[in-house]
Amino acid sequence: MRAIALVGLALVAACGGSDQNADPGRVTLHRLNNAEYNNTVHDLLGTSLKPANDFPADDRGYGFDNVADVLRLSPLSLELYEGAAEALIADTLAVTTGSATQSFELMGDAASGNASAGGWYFFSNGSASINVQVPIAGMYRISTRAYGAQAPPDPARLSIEVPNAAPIIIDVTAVQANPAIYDRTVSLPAGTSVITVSFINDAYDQTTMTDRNLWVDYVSVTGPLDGPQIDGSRRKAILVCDDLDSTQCQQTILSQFAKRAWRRPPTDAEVAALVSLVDLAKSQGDTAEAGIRLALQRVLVSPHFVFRVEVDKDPNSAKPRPLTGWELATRLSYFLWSSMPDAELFDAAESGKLASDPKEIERQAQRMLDDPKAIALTDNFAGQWLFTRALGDQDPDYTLFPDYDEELESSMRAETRRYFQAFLTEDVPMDQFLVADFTYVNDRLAEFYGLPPVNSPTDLVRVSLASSPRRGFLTQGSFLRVTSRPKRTSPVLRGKWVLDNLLCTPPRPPPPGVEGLPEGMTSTGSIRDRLEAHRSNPICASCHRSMDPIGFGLDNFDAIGHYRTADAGFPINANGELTDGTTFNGAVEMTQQLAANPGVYRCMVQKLYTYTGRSPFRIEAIEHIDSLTERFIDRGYHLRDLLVDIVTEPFFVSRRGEP
Amino acid sequence: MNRRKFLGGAGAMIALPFLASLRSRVARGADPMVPRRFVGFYLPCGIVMADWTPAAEGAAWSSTILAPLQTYKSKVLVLSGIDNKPGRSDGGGDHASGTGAFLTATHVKKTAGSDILNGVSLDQLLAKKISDGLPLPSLELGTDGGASVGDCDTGYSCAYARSIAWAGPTSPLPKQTNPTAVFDRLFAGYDPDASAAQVMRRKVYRTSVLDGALEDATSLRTKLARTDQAKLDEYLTAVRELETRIARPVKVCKPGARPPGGLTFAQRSRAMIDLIAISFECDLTRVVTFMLGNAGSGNTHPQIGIAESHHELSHHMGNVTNLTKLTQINTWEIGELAYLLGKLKAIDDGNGVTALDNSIVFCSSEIEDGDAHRHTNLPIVVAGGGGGSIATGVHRRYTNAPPIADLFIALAGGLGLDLPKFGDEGTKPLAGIRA
Repeated sequence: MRAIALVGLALVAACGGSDQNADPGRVTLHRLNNAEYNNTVHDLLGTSLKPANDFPADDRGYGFDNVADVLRLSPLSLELYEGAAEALIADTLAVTTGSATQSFELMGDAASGNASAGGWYFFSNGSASINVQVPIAGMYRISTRAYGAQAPPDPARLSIEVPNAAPIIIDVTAVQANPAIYDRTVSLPAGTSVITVSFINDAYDQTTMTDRNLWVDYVSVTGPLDGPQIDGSRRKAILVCDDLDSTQCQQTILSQFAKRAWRRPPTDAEVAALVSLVDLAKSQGDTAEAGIRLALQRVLVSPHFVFRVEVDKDPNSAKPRPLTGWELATRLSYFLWSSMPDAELFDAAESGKLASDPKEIERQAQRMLDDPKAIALTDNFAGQWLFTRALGDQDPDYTLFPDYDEELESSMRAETRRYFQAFLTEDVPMDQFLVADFTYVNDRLAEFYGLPPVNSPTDLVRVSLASSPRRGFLTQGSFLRVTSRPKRTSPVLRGKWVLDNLLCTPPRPPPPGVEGLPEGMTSTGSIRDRLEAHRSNPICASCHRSMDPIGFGLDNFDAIGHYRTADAGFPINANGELTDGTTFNGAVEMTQQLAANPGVYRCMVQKLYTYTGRSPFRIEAIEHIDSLTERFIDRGYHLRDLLVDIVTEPFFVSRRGEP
Repeated sequence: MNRRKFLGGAGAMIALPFLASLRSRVARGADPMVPRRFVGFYLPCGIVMADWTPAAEGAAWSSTILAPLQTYKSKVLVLSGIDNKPGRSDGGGDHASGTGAFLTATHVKKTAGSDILNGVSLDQLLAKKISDGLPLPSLELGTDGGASVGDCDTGYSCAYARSIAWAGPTSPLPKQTNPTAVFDRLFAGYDPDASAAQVMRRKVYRTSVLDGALEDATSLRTKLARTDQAKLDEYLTAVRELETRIARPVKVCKPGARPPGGLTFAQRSRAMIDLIAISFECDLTRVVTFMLGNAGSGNTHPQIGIAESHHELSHHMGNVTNLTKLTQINTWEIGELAYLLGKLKAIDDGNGVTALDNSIVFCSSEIEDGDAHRHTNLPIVVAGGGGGSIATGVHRRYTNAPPIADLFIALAGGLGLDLPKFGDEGTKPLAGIRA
C-alpha cells in the first residue's frame, strides 16, 4: 500500500494542483478498540475496572490498532461486552460505605473433606473456593479460624490463593482444643474475586501413627483497609433523581445516561424502550432499581455504545457533508483522548457552536491537548509508532543481560513516554526528536546510561546528554531493546524500523526461507561481519543494502541499549549509509542526517494522518499530507500546531456516503 | 446457622461436591449418545523433522520429539508425507498463511486490511455436528494475544496469524489467552443455590437486554451503507448466537479452582489444558482449538532454559546448536500434548471408556521445517480413538503426497460428519485413517 502511495506521490506532483473540495473519504463504522473501551467506561462511570484487558487482542492494520475497517467484532467480544456491562453497572451503583466485613463458610470436595463442627474438615489435600465481591480495589484483610490435626514433622499447612498473587502459605500450629485465627493482608481488585483455600500437606506419619488434617471454620474478608471511602457519588452521578418508581425519574436517568454513552441525544422511542425494561423487572417482582440497572446494561451493550456511529442522510451519496456537532465532538475526543467527550465538549456540540464555528474546533483541541487525558496520544499513537508498546513482549537473555529487569524496563518505557510528552505538551520542535541533547532519567536509568546520579529513585528528571554518546529517540533504551533479539542486536530490525516508520519507505519482504540469522554469540565475527557475509548473497543484498547500513549506525548500543565499543570481542564499526547514499559514522552523525531529511517529517505526518483517519491509505490523501507537511515545517515543526491543523482538515470535519 | 441458607446469602459458592452426581446426570441423561470430541492443537514455527519422523512405519515406531507420547502409543497415529499446499504464501508470510490454512486447508487472501478471506475450519464444521446445543459450540484458546506492534507477518492480517478457528471465510474466531478470564466465562454467573424461578428470571433479563441490542442494530442497519452494514452484521450474528445459547438449559458442574493471574507462558499452557479438560468433563463444549503460540511465535522458553526466540531459532540454518535447542522446544511442546492426553484419559465417559477414547486430537504446525517454510510433509499426530473410528497405534507414511484436506474428511467421518469435499483440495477421505 505504501509503495503505491509513493508512486502516487510522483504522479500527483507531476500533475500538480490541490483541490480544496477534495473527497474527504469515509470512515467505516468503528468498533471501540480495547484502549478506547477501557478509557470510555472510566470516563462514563468513574470506574477503575478495565474489562477490555480480557477482550480478544485488537487486530492491527497499517501500523495501528484503531483502523475501523480492520477492527472486527466476534461472538466472543459480544459475550464479553454483556458480562462487562453487568459488572460495570454493579460496580457503579454499589452502595457499600467504608470498610466492611464479609464472612464465608467453606465447603470443599467430598473426596477430600466433610462438614464438621460448623466448619470444613480436610482429611486429605483439597480446596474450597469462595466468591468475594468487593466494591473497590484495595487492601483487604483475609482472616480464617483453623486448627490442625498435627502429625510430625510439619504443622498442618494452609494455602490461600487470591487473584494475581503468589499463594499465601500459613502454618496452622493450633490444635483442636484451641483453634486460632490467622490473618493476612492482600490486594483485591474491584468486583468479584475467587479466593481458594487449600490444605496442601496431608500426611500420615508411620512412627507416631498420626494423620495430619486441617479444619477451617470460616474465611472472612474485611476492607478496604486503605483507599477512598465510597461516598456514593458515582451512584448519584447516574441515579440523578430519587423517586425511581416514577416514570419521569426513570426517563431522566436513562436519557441522560444514554446521551453520554451514545454520544448523542437518544430519541423518545429509544428512551421509551429503555424504560420498558424497568416495567419488565417490576413485572418479575423486582425493584425499579433492578430494572434501571438492566436498562443501563442495555445501553452499554447497544451498537450505539460499542460502535462510533456516524449516520449519513443519504448513505449512498458521494457528496461530502459536514459532520454534526456530536460527531465532531466524538471524533475530537477519540483522536486526542482515546475516549468519550467530556461535559464541555458535549456542551459545544449541543449548543451548535462546534458544528458552526471552525475556530471552536481549534479552541476545543487546544483545551483538550492541555488536559492530562491527552496522554492517550502518547500511549496509543506514539506507543505504536515508536514501538514502545512492544517493551515486555520478549525478555532478553538473563545470562547475557543480568542487569535487565522490570525496573529498568519500566524506566525505559517511562523515559520515552516522558520524552514524547515534551514534544506534545512543552512544544519542543519535532526537528529535535532525533537529535535532542536531553532526555529524562531516574537513578536507575542514569546509571545504565553512564550519567551522573540524579537523586531520584523513581521519578524522571530532565538531564543533558552533552557529555554522552546518546542523542535523541534512536539512542533510548526502549527503542534499542525492542529492535533487538533476546541475545543480540539486530541491525536489520533497527534499519527496517527507520525505513518503515521514519522514512515511510518500507523494504520489500524477504523471499521465503532466507530470513533470519542464527542466534547468539559466535566466534566468526561481530554481528556486522556476519551480516556483511549474509549480504554477499545477491538475493538478500537487494533489500539488506537499504536496511543494514542504517542499523550499523546504532551498533554501539547492544541488545538492551548499553553503550559498547566491541561486539563479541570484535571492535564496533559504526560506519553506515542512508538509502540516498549519504554516509555517516555512528549514531550522532546518522541522527543529524536523518533530522535534516524532509522525508522524515512527511513520514511523521503520514503516520499521524493514518492514526487520525483510521482508514487504509488513500491516493487522495497524498496531497493533504504534502500540504500538512509543508505547513508543519514552515511553522517550525511544532507537533501541537500539526494536530490542530489536522483536526480542521476536510477529512476530519466532513464525510460522505458510499455510492 | 443453616448452611444452605448461608450459601444463598453469600452468593455463588463454587466448590460443591453434591453437584458432581447432578452433573453426570445432566450430561449423560440429556444426551444418550456417547460424546465425540475434537481438539485442534497448534504448534508454531515448524518442527525438527529429523528428530520427529520415526524411521520405522507400523507399531514399532520411536522418535525423540514424540517420546512423551509413548504412554499413549496405542491411541496415537503418527502421519508422514501429508501436504497442506494451500498454506503456501504469496511472496512471503508463510507463518501467517500456513496458520490461516491450519484447519481450513484453504489458500488465504494476502491482505493486511479488512478484506480477509479464508475457508471454514474443520473444528467449526464439527461443532455444528457434535457440539450443537451445548453451552458453548466451541472454545478457542491460546497462550498469546499477539505482538503489540508492527506487521503480523509480511503483509498478512493478524487474523491469519492469531486464529485457526474460522466460522466463515471472513469470520475468524479470536481466542482467549487469560486462563482466569476463560474460567470466569465458563463458570461465572452460576449460582448453584438459585431457585428455578431465579434462573428463569436471569434468562429473561439477559434475553431482554440482547433483544434491545438487536432492535437497535436492526434499525441502525437500514440507515447505513454496505461496508458499515457488513460491520454491523458481525454484531447481529454475535447477538443472535448468544441469544440462542442463553435459551439452552443451564449446566451445573463442579469447576475446581479458578486459575490465578500473572502466569508465565508455560504455566498458561498448563492452565489452558486444564480448562480444556474441565470443559469436556462438564460437557460445556465438545470442540476446542488451542494455539501454543501464534504464527511464527517469538516466545522464549525459560521453563527449559532456552532464552532465544523460537522463531529466530527456527531459522536454524543447519546449525547443530540451534537444532538441538529446537528439538528441546518441540519435545516440550509434545509434552504439553501428552499432558492433555493424560487429562482426557482421566475423564470417565462410562462403561470403561475415557474421553481419550472418544476424542480426536489433531496436532501439527503451520509449516514443516522452520528454516525451509515448507508446507509439505507436515508433522502430524492424530491422538485419541474417535470413538473407535481411528486406526491408531502406528506410524503411517504416505508417498503420494495426499492433501491434508483428505485427512480432515477422514477425521470428520470418524466423528460422524460426512464431508463430500473440504478446503481447496479435499475430495475423499484419506485411506488408512479409519479403523
